[in-house]
Amino acid sequence: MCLAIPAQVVELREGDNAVVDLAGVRKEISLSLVDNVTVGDYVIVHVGYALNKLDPEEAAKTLALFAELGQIDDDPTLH
Amino acid sequence: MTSAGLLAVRAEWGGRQFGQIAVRLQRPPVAQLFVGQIPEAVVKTIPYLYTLCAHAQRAAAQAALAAAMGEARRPVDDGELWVELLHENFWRLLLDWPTALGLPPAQSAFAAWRAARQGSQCLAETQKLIAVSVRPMAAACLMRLDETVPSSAAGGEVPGMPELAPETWLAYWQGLSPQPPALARPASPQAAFRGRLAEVEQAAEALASGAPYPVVAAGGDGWGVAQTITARGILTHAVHVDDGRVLRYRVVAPTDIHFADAAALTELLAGRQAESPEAGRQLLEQAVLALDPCLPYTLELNDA
Repeated sequence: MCLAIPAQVVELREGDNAVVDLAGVRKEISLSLVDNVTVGDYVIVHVGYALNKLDPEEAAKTLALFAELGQIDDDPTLH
Repeated sequence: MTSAGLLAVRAEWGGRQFGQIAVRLQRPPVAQLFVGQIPEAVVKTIPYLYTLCAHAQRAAAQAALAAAMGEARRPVDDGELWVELLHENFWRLLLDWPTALGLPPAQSAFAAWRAARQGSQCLAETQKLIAVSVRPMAAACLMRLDETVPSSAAGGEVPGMPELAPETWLAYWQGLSPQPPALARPASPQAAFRGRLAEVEQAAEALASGAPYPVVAAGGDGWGVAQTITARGILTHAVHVDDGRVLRYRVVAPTDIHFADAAALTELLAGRQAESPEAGRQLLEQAVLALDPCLPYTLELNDA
């Protein structure tokens, strides 16, 4: 049940790769599974691949949900 | 901001065999977002939170909440759910397993299917991918697996589509049973691989015939449990609703059970021997892949 945390594309690189900002952490991912991604777009990332592109409204809503989640104390029995 | 969670696997390796194995699974408490919400709000929120199995998550949530409220369940889009199941299975069979076994992944074939999967040619493209890419790749992977896993450790029944039993889970959820039902786990990496391959063939047939996607639920009087299948196994949603609002909610994915402790990994690696740290790490990687965690993971192999 991998969580769909939006990552923002901050740099396009050669070989269909890009650098994304995921909750403040930057990492290089592959864009080979999605089309028409540009700097500033939000994508969902899984094991090094962008899975799909999100529109800014959807990304904002999802980020707000995860921000709310970040305020909740972690209880391993409740995920 | 929170993270998607992390699985850390640490194993001791004594030169030939594995020693102690430890796992640590950290998950954000997603279900706490649902507490205090009305059921409709939960169903609307779910697709924003999950990625790989978003449709299955939504179907399970709807079914669990409907059972708890004593309402009729909304129909699901069966085709969408079968395609989601196939997507994850194709990913493992065409990208992850080949890479773990030193074979080139079929990335472009997978990407082409992915681009076509929501169009009118989905079924034809699915059947083509299975015939042209999945079966040959599976044969090559199984040959490599047979080289690395001795026949004595390669056996075990090949798992088929898992059987769903929400009533048993409901008894646990209501405190009438001390333990949740056990989840079947693969006896060997080969059994896991063959099970996934068999599931792909079954799912493609189901997609072709328009078979309903398995989603079952049990409950009433505010208690609801629903189960459905995902590429990793059974997904369970359990809810307790009171006065129209969620009091408790729990989502249990196969990863939560397989990696709750080190038992499943220890079982898969029991008696396995490796001649070098690199070979040991490869066995560990294959065992983790057989259990297929749905979140990022790290592997650490230490000399005992």
